Amino acid sequence: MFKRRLTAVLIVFCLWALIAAGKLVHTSVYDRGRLLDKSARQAWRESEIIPPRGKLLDSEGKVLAWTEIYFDLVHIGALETPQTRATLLNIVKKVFPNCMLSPVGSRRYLLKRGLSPDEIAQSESLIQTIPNLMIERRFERRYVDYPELRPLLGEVVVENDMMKGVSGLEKKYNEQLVGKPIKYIVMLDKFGNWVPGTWRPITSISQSVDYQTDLNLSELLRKSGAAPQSSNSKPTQAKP
Amino acid sequence: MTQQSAIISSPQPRDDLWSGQLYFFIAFFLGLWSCLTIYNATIFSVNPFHFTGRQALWLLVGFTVMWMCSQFPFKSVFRHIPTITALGFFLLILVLIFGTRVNGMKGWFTFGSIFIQPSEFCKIPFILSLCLVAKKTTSSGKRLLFMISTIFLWTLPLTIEPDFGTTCIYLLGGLIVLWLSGIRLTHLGLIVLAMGACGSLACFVGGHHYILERLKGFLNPERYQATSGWHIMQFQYTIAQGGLTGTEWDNSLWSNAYLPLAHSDSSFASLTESVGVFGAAPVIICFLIMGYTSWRNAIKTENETARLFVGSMTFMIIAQALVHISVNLALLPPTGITLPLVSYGGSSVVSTMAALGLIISASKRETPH
Repeated sequence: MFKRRLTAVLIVFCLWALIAAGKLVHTSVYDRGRLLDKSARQAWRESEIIPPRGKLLDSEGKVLAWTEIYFDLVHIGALETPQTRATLLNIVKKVFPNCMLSPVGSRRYLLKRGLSPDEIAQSESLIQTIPNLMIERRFERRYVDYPELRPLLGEVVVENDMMKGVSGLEKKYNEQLVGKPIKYIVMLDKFGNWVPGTWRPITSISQSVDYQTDLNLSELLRKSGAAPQSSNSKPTQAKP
Repeated sequence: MTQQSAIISSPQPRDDLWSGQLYFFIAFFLGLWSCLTIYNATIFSVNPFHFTGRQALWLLVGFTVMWMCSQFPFKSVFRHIPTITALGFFLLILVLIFGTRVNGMKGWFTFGSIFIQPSEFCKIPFILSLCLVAKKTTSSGKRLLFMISTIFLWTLPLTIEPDFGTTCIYLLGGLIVLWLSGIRLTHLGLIVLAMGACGSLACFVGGHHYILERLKGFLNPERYQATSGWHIMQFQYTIAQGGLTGTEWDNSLWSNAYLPLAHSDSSFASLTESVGVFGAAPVIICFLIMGYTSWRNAIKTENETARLFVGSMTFMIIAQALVHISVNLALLPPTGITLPLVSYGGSSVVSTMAALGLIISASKRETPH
């Protein structure tokens, strides 16, 4: 009797294993295409990278206008109660004791401005665990320290995360300076972070093109009606 | 020389030796697959060798324990069943008082960074106690009553923890022992129905509504993909990534990015992503070979208790493996059960290997001089 009963148990488990093996093959082979499509919709995202705006140079190659890139730690999404805001701030303060929570626009909060490379590395642990916390790139346009050249060089405004020239050389050569966005595809994990090694471009990678004037700095200054000073470029705050 | 026949340990018959070595080989193969699976499932973590290294250490401990248990005469183990049972049950009660709560379940003793789960080790005394009860009671009615009471006593602390996954495995093990000890099929059917009814009542009365949510997600995972069906959908996506031959060994993207508990409760799916069907199927085959080997050993063993133990213990391990695999294949709702010898977990590895060692010991034939 024991032998018969044990044999029955063995047969039942063999059948169970056979059903499991069949389901394994079904999922891995027959249903694979549909599941891969669904999973791709869940995980893969297409977006674009906007290259930094090209430089304005004089005829001798001296930089008249350039773009600097900064990285800020921001939270995107509503923080409805003071308690939620305080909780978030307390968690981030463990990594950045001097951070503050400043609302910037609707459903956006700035926690720390201008992260250094070390701070970007330190932020990784926060970004992987706190949903909607991310590092955002910010461009700032800088100009050579000759205020009299500014009308000639022009101004930029930021529209849809891209700088657009609205006056002067910035406007005249805007298309050349702005370049083409690079379209890419990347896999996101459950926290919305990029999965390492999955980024790849869809369009060819092209950089923005610098514009070089026909005149050198002294000639440009004479043209604008000012006397040439030191040719060392000093950074000034550009208007966003 | 006396006329009394003395049972002595003779040099092992050849097929005993072979089947003992087979258990070791199966444990080695599954242990190797375990290290590779855990490494792949944690490749994006800060230190992917952390869990793999610990698992390798536990496997070393496990092999030592397995060898020691295989050398221990089963008759000695049988004599000490009451002590082993009392100790095991005491640990289950103690963990309810002094244990650490992890993910809502109070089932671990912690010693620094080491977590010991007594419910894993208590599977052996659980089966042994049922075998003892089956041996000692001659009346079939009394045997049924005492065995059901024993099952109830062992599973009560587990439901209080609450660890419903392990409770189900204990119940499956109990049903296997009941069946092998000679219970009628109708009685077995009634017991299964009663267990189902008690379980459903416990869900409603105990307020464990998450179990009902899990069932809803299991029955229609695509509809509840954002909530209770999430884990099941991730199982399917992970397995689909692997296909027939798997992705590369350090490229298990889905296991790392989306699959919850890829190194423990979801290890079969994670393994399949890495090695595909061709690599995952041998795991199922290993457990079937284990079952067949124990079947052969059990029917050859003359000692009734030993053969009952060999059959019950082996198929309880295989039941746990098949439950885990079925959960990962979305054939069963998620239960939080590990895959023996493959999933990360020192308690599970060492206790399973101890059980295999005792199975080898119980399978050894004693020949009269």
